[in-house]
Amino acid sequence: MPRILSFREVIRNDIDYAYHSSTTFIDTTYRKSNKFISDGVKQLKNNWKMRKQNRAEKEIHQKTKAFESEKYAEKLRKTMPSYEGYDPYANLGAGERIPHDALVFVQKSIIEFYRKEFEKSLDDLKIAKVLDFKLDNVYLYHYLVGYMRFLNGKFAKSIESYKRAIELMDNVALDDSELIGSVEKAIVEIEDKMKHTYDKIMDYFSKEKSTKKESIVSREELHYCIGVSYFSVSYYRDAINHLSEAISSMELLERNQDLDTLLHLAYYYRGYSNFGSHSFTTAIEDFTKSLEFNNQDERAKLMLNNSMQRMGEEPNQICLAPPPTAFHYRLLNEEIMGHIFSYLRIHSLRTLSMTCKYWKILSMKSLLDRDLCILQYEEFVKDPDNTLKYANESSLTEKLFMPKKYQCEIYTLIYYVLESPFFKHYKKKQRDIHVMFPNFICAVGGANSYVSYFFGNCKKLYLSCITFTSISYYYNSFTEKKYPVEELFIIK
Amino acid sequence: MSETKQVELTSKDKVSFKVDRDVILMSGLVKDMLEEGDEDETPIIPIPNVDSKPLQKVIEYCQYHHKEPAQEIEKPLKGKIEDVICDWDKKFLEIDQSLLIELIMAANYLNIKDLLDLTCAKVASMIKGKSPEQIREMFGIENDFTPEEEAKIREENKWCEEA
Repeated sequence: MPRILSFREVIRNDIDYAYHSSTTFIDTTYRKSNKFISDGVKQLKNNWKMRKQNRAEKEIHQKTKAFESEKYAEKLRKTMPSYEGYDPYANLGAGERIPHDALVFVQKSIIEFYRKEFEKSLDDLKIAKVLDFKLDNVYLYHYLVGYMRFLNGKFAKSIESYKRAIELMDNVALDDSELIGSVEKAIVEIEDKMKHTYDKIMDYFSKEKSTKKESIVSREELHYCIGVSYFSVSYYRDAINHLSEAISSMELLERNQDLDTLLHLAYYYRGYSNFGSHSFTTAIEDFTKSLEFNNQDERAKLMLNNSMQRMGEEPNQICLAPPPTAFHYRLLNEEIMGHIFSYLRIHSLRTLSMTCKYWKILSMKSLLDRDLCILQYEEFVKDPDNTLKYANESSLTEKLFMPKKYQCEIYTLIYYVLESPFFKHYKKKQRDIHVMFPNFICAVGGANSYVSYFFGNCKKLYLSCITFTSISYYYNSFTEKKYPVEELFIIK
Repeated sequence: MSETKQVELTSKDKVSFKVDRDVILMSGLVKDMLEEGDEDETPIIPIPNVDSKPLQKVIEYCQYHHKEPAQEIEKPLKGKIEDVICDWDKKFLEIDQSLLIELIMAANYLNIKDLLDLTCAKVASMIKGKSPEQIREMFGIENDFTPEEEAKIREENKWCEEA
């Protein structure tokens, strides 16, 4: 039975409550105002640190704004170049300078890069190319695109851009040399604008010491970039080839601080690639060489120790680096890993299967455990949001006259996906499958036959996003009992 | 006024936490133990597998979510995890990686399904969009494929790299 409180006790309780709530109130208000002040100070500090960048950005912003408002922008949008051979100068008067605006967007992309907004930076570069298709012949432009793609995690595409940059570097056409010069000038100009006075002075002195660079990026650096991109997607052999190319040319050059840093990193990544491909002796050589250029790098020391241990040698480096990860996968059991994997799309599962043998089995098992598997284009691409965004943004003309190359790519993609050994167990198991393809693939046709060929084994098949012709195709195939599918669901 | 019954949890490093019984019933393990044990005033439950830091986080989670049950997280995750969870959970997950892994192990041991789902989905969203090499670095995995196997995998995975 609840105790009956006396009047005095009730009052005391009320006072206690009031006191407690008021202190909590004061406490939270105090904390809030403290947070407000500290946030304000942080903002102020940040603004002060970034003041030059902000100023530069403001300037550029005004220029791009002018571009938006000008009459020819409208004209330009109507005749957006979607195929090669388009001449933007043809429809414009003499006073309308498109290339200049293209350079403004290149500069804008540099600012975004310094702000660590890599996606925006890549977008700006794309706009720049639309404004001046001649940028396609500039190696610097491809270097920038490659670098931004790398920073956005699109490694294979970044390799493509870097390779194109090297190609263009070797064959500079006379017509383009002027544009290359102006792109270079634009980049230097905007970087200079963003620098603080202190940095400028430091630069002046360091330039006195080091040899002046001929261009923003050298061939060696491009090979180094390709090597690192290959390394990032675990293509060790290609990584080693390109890094070796970079190292051998850099070794011939006159030494300076920048070159030493690059050589240190190039040896480190080559060492890591050798370690990855189990060539431990070469890995030890590379890590040792890397430490010659910078003996403070704890990562290189750690990897050297690891390589020596693998060769049965006693590690000789005193290493202060913390273990490479606090997140070691062996801490989690198979069941938990399976649970984590169940939240991933097929593309990510496939990537996981490339990390090591144990995870290969785990990821295939995770796919087998799924009762209903949705097979759609978005499941297979790395960045579905952006890919779809791009697909939606592209104009009707672009969609209708999409170069054959892209169509092939999509077919090849579906073919590789369905033929891949990763699906071999999955195909054998009878299950419900939900197949979904974006409209534009189905409109072209052909993809559907792959689906029925590979997933004829399933009992229930759900199909969606397909065209009228494909519905009749499926209907006929399944009524003629070409496949053992018992039930077919068509979702429109 | 009726007092709410409390339970005392002792962590691996011998730190005690007093928690309302209703709150900690979210844990399947504690629930089973309480059902088996006697009706003590404040039963003491040792949690020998969990340190005080993750245990405190677990209690914090239970205190919030025993009143407001968490929404189920979709499988597979379509976007970022931040888009599908509530603001409180977003703040809750602002922790370093070592604590996150301890939290997963604690949630698994204590059998708190919602917390396990949340933390596992967080790890999944960390994996998303990363390259195999980045994943290896993140989880401390060593590549045990031979160069020949690597080449084969590379051939098989053309579609996976950049579509």
